[in-house]
Amino acid sequence: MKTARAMSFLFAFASLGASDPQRRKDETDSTLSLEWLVPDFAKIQTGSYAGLFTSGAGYTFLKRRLDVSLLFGVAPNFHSGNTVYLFEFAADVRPFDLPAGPLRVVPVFIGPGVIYSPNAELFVSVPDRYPTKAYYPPTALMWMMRLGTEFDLVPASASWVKRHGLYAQATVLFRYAELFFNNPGSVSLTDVIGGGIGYRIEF
Amino acid sequence: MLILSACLRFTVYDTEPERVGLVAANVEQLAAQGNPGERFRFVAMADTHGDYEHLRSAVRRINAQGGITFGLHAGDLTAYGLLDEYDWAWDELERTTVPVLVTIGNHDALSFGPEIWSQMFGPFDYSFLIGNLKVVVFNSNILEFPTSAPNRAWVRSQIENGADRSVVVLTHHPPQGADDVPGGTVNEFYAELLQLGKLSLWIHGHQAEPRLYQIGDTTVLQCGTFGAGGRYWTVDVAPEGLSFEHCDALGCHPREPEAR
Repeated sequence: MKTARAMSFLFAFASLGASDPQRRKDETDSTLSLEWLVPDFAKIQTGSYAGLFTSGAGYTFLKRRLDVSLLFGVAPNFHSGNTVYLFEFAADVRPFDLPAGPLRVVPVFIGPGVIYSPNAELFVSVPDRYPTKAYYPPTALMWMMRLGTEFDLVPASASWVKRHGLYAQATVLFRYAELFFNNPGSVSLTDVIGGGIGYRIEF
Repeated sequence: MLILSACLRFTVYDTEPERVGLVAANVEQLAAQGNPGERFRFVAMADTHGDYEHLRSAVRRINAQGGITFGLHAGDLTAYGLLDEYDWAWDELERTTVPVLVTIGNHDALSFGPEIWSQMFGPFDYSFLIGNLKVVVFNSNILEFPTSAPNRAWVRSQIENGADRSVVVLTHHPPQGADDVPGGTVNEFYAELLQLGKLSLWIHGHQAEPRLYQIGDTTVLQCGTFGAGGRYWTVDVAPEGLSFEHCDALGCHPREPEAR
C-alpha cells in the first residue's frame, strides 16, 4: 500500500514537468517525447529538518520564478538515535535574481512544503484500533515554510550546466511556529528555526 | 550562511535526550528529603501539552505556596511525543523546588515518544513510598501499547502488596470509561482494582474537566486539562483523610468529592 502510494506520488511529481509546455521549449526543439521527465535541477542538502544527507531533484517554471522539488533524506542512527527517512516536497517562489558578473544572486526565495517520514513509528492515518480517524493528526507529516537565499554561478562557457548554486535557508514547521507564538517566553525563535544549506545544480 | 549553518536541524524525530533517568532521580530526591510524617501536601496536574507559559506560571505559584512535598503529573506533557516538546515541558517542570513524578500520556506515546520516555524518565510502571502512602504509577495507554499496557499482573501485585500504606494510583486514563481496544476488558480490570478496597485515591488526566468524585471507597481526582488558567490540584494528606484544593490563576479553592 505504501509502495503503491509512493509510486503514484513519484509519477505525479514527474508529470509536473509536462505541466508547463514552455518549460523545455525555450531550450530545444527536440521532439523527444520523454524530455519533460528530465528534471531541471538537482540538489544536495543538509539540515532544514529534511535529514543529515538529503538529495533530490525538481522542476522550475515561469523562468525560474517557481521551483518545485522532491528530496529524499536520512537522519542516521548515530545522529538521531534512530535512522529516520524523510521525503521533502516543497515549492519555492524566487521572485527575481540579481546579476553580478558571472554570479546571480537570488536574494530571497520563500515557499511552503511538507516533510514526510515513512518510519514505522509514524502514521499518516491512525491505526484501525482507534475509535475515529480524527483521533490524532498525522505524525508522519510536518508542514513547513521556508525562507532562503542563493548565490548562483553561471559557467563562462556553454555547458550542460546552466548554474551552480549555493543556498542557505531557514525552515519553520507549522507545529513549532504555533508553539513559539503561544509560548514566546519558553520557546525561542532559534528553538524552532531549522537551518539548512545546500547545493543546487541547474541543467 | 555561517549563522544558519550553526543552527542546522536534521530532523524533529531525534530520540536521544540529554536528560535521562528523571524518575529515578526524582524518587531519590524525594527519599533524600526524609520522611514527611503524617501530614504533608502534594500537587497534581495533567495534560499540559504545549502550554509552557502557563506551566511556568503554575510552577511559580506552586513554589510560592510552600509546604509542598512533591508533584505528580498525570501525563501528556507533549502533543506529538517529540523530543523538543519533552525538553520544553521539562524545562518548566524542573523549575519546581520539589521532585516531580510523571506518568506517560497518550500524546507522549506518539512518534518516537516511548523510546524518548524510556531514556528520559525510565520505566513506564513504577511505585514509590512517601509518608504513609504508596504511589503506584502505571502506563494506561492501551491504544498506544495494545499488547503491553496496562501491565495487569504488576499493577495488581503492587496494589495488593501496599502493606499498611494508603495506595494512590497515578495514570493518564480514568478508571471508568477508559479508551480500550475493540473487545478489550480494561474497564473490567480497573473495576476489579477498585473492588480490592485498597485504593485511597486514583489520580488521572486525559479528560478535559477537573473533577473530584467517589467510586466506592476510592476518591478519584480528575486533574482536567491544564488550560489557560494553569490549573492544578493540591492534596493534603492527614491521618483523618485527604483534602483537596483546586488551584488556578485566581487562587486555590477547597473542593469536596461529588457522589458518583
